[in-house]
Amino acid sequence: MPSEIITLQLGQCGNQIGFEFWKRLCMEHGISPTGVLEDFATDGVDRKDVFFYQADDDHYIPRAVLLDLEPRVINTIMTSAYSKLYNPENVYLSKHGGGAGNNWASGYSQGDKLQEEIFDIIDREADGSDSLEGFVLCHSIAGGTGSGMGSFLMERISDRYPKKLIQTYSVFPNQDEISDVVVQPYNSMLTLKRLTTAADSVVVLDNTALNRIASDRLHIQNPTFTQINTLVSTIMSVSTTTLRYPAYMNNNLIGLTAPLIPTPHLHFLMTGYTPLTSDANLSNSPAVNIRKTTVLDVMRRLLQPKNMMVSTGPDKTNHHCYISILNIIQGEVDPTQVHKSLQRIRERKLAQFIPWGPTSIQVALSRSSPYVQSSHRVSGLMLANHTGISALFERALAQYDKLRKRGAFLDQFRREDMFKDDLVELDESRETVDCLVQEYEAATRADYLEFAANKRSAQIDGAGDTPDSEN
Amino acid sequence: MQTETNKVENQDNLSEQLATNGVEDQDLNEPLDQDFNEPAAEAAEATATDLPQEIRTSALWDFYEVNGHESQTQLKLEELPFKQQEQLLMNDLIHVAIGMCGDYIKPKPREDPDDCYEAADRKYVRQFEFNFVVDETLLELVQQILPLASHFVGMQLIIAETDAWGQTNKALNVALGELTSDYYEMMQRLEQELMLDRLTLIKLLYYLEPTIWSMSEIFETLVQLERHNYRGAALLTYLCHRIKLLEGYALTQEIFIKLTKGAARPYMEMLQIWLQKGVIVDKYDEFLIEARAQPVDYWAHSYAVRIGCIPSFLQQAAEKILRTGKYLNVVRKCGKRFEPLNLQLDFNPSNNQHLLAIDAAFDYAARLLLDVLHEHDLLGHLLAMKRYFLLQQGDFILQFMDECEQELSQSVSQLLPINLEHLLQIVLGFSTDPYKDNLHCELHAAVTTTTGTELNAFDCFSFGYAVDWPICLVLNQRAIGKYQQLFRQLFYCKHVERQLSNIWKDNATAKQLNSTAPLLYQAAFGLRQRMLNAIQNLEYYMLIEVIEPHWHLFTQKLTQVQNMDALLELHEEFLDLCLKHCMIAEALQLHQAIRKLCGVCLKFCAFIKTTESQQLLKSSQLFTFFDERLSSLLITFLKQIIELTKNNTTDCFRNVVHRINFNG
Repeated sequence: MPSEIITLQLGQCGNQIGFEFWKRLCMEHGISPTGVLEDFATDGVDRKDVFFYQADDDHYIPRAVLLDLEPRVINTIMTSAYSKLYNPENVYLSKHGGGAGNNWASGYSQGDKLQEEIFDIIDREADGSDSLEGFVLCHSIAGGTGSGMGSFLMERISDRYPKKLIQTYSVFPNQDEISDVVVQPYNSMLTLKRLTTAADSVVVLDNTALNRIASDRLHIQNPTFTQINTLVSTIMSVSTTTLRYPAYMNNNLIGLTAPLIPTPHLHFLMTGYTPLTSDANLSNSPAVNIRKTTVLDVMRRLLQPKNMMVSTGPDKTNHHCYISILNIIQGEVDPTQVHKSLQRIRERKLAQFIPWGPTSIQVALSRSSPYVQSSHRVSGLMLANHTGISALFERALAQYDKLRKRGAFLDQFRREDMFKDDLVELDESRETVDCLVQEYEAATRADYLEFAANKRSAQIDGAGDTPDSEN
Repeated sequence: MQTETNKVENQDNLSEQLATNGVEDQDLNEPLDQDFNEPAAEAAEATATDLPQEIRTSALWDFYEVNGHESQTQLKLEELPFKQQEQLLMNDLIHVAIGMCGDYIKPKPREDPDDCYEAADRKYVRQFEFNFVVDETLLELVQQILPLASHFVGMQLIIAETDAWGQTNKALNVALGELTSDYYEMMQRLEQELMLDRLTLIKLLYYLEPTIWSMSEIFETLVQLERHNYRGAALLTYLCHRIKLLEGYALTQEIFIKLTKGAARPYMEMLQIWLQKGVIVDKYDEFLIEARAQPVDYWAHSYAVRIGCIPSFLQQAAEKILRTGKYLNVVRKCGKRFEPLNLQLDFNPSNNQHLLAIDAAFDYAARLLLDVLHEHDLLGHLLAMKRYFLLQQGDFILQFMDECEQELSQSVSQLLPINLEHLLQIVLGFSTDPYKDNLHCELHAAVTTTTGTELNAFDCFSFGYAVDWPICLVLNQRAIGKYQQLFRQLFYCKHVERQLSNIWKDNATAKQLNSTAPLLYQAAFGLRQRMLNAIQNLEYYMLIEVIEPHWHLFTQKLTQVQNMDALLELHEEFLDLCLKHCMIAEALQLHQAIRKLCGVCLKFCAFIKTTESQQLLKSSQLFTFFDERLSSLLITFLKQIIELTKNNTTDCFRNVVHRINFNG
């Protein structure tokens, strides 16, 4: 079947969110933990074949590749109720099982060494699909395996499958707590470079924002991984809903991403979701639904920063703007409401858009799974390309610079081949990310299209003169 | 057949009456009265036989003078006393009133119709002559009663004349026959009174007064009937008209109502069969519905209303009557058996019961047909149309394009339709849709023919959808044509979007150039994105803001629809609104503008694809060209829309402007 997508889960974090994602997909498509279609789901009108394929005995198998350098998370998955779901040949654990020691360089070089075995799996999966559309990578940018091996794989895949899309769900570390991974800023910087140059689109899952949402909005004091990952799996499942429940538009990955990403580098997407409640919240507080939720309510809430899954920090200069927005709305929606809502948002100027090109809020009305009961009449996910995301990269740059200036913790990097002779790779990565920040900065200005990165020095002081967006 | 026997009975009746009136049977065989002026009668006279055949069969008296009777000694009236004068005159009057020749009162010979100016009117009127002198008062009374005789005989003549005018006239004549029997009966009673010596001329007039009045009305009506050739429905209409004119004359009106009821009976029987079974039993072509043989468009042309054959009392229900039977026929054609509605359909001019019965029959048939349509899964077919033609099943269209892109990129002349069909089957092979086999490929002439260049298959491609009875009544040629129009615009936009998306993927490789992308790349990205944005928003507008809401309303109304015609109307309204708001139907220049816009995008895609990146750097003028071309086309397009919406603010065209240009 066309437009298949292969999911690659790397490292602890990647496998955890991947696990939640598949759990969710199974639930939505009426597939049991062992891959058998439930009796109530036999006449479904959904498309399962984008993410699953059917074995000879008709049971569904995820197009997923599970990779890790240490066994803990994968073992948990393989002893869970869902252990029979995955193709065991697609689960790859490195033999020595020692992990990457939270070191990007270690993950990267292990990826290099294991690439033959890994690409055996990936190639087999790719060959097994009729017309593969792309890869989805789940990983974290801060650790060792997801970031290092993930970076390696992204580079290899974009060489090997230049026509296929690479989308990532990348978890950014929580800035509110002190990480026990001291080299996290290095790891992040090196991964960000690959995300910029090798991936086609990156859905940013910012742990800082996710934790804040869990504690502030869902009133969970100490959110567990599982609770955070439920949020993540919601985002992942809803953002793929137009692929799985096709309607008029955005029915393949390229149709979903191309309109969001005008220029190749600016492909880091934020997400927002509403309504934000969880089971825990429902049991703690009385019913929150006081009034009928309309499309306009949903769209308006999606534009509020507090519902964003990325913490960009306060935008002091207030010059950041939307490059593009796609709202995926699910539930009982009167389609006649959509255009009224858009008109209202336009009239009230609730969203500020880039001044250098035409753009608008796109809306996809999506069907949702009949098998998952939602407590909400209408829910919405926003996929947005917003220049404010550069704050995340600036923060990463600042942390990196602090560490790099001191030359701290570089020993473990020097142990790997890549950094044996010099640390040019680190500096180049910093350079790439710095350019990215500046390109986002430039994208807030009307003359963005004349922006050429190699002449950037002349334009650096642009943050102050916010161009008017009225053209 | 019924009427035939009735007539015979009437004849018998008549001769019985005559016998009781003391006229001997053999008298009838005597030669004819000289003044008989029917041409046939003259012919009969020439051959000197008995009564002419025509007269015999219709058993009309028409004042034949019986020779034997005449030869009897006749008392001179003047010489008799008043009392006896009155008796004899009354006797004569009673005879004359039933069409026999009296002793003293004789009919004047008929004027030659050629000589007479008012021939038509006078054809059935008889004048009488008196060859005696009596008291003025007696004469006056006689004169008052005499028109009855003229009218009665005239009535009989017209009955004979119109008996072959079809079943409605026949039915009227039967009713008139009953009236005649009553009339004879009354005359007989009067004669008895006379014999018992209980009658005076004054009394006679008193008894006959109402009959004189109604007989003259009936006669007048019949004369008009004959003169204007009122048959079938026209006759019923005329009778109803007469009933209205008689408002206030209760007795006569009552008679007319009875006559009309009788006359309408066969017509109402036809109507009942039609309303219950959808069958036309109409030997004389009198019914208001006619069937057409093998029409091209069954729904529109299989049955029609004959405008001239609608009785006035069915005028307002004609359309309903037509539909009722048509619905039943459609239901029958679907092979569904149904119980005919129990219907009591009598026409009574004094109320509207028949209209209520027609309403009931219509509702029943409408329900039956809708049920049949739903049994054949009308909604399922409509949803299939939405999936395939209105692109709701986006993944199918993408799959189809994946398979057929190469084929469709050829020029039409090179394209092998069988290949397309084959590819479509491959794509549909994955589908579990029960209606997938209805879908096929078609190639049409392009909407806007660009002179010189050969047509690309993409310009001409459309799906077709084959449907069976009875769904094809809804998804008829016209409706499918409209779906195709919508499809072609949507499909074309999708095609352009795909091309632009492919370029997007190619362009994405530029990200590896690590931010040293030259100025031109950036310009190319910007331009491509503007195109993509324009095309996608156009699609969003058409799909999400036009088709989806209209569909939503359409299906909502569909659940409340009462009959097939309302359903068809609703469907057409839905399609027309979509066509209009998708800028296909309303304004041709908008449609062309969209095509041009798409054309520029496709040229740009082709240019980017074929140009090596090295050359790309040198072709900055071309970029500027594309950029300017796009801008000018978009601006004209948007201006055209704004221009159009100036006159009509309710139109949602303006939303396109907002969509494509969010920042205003």
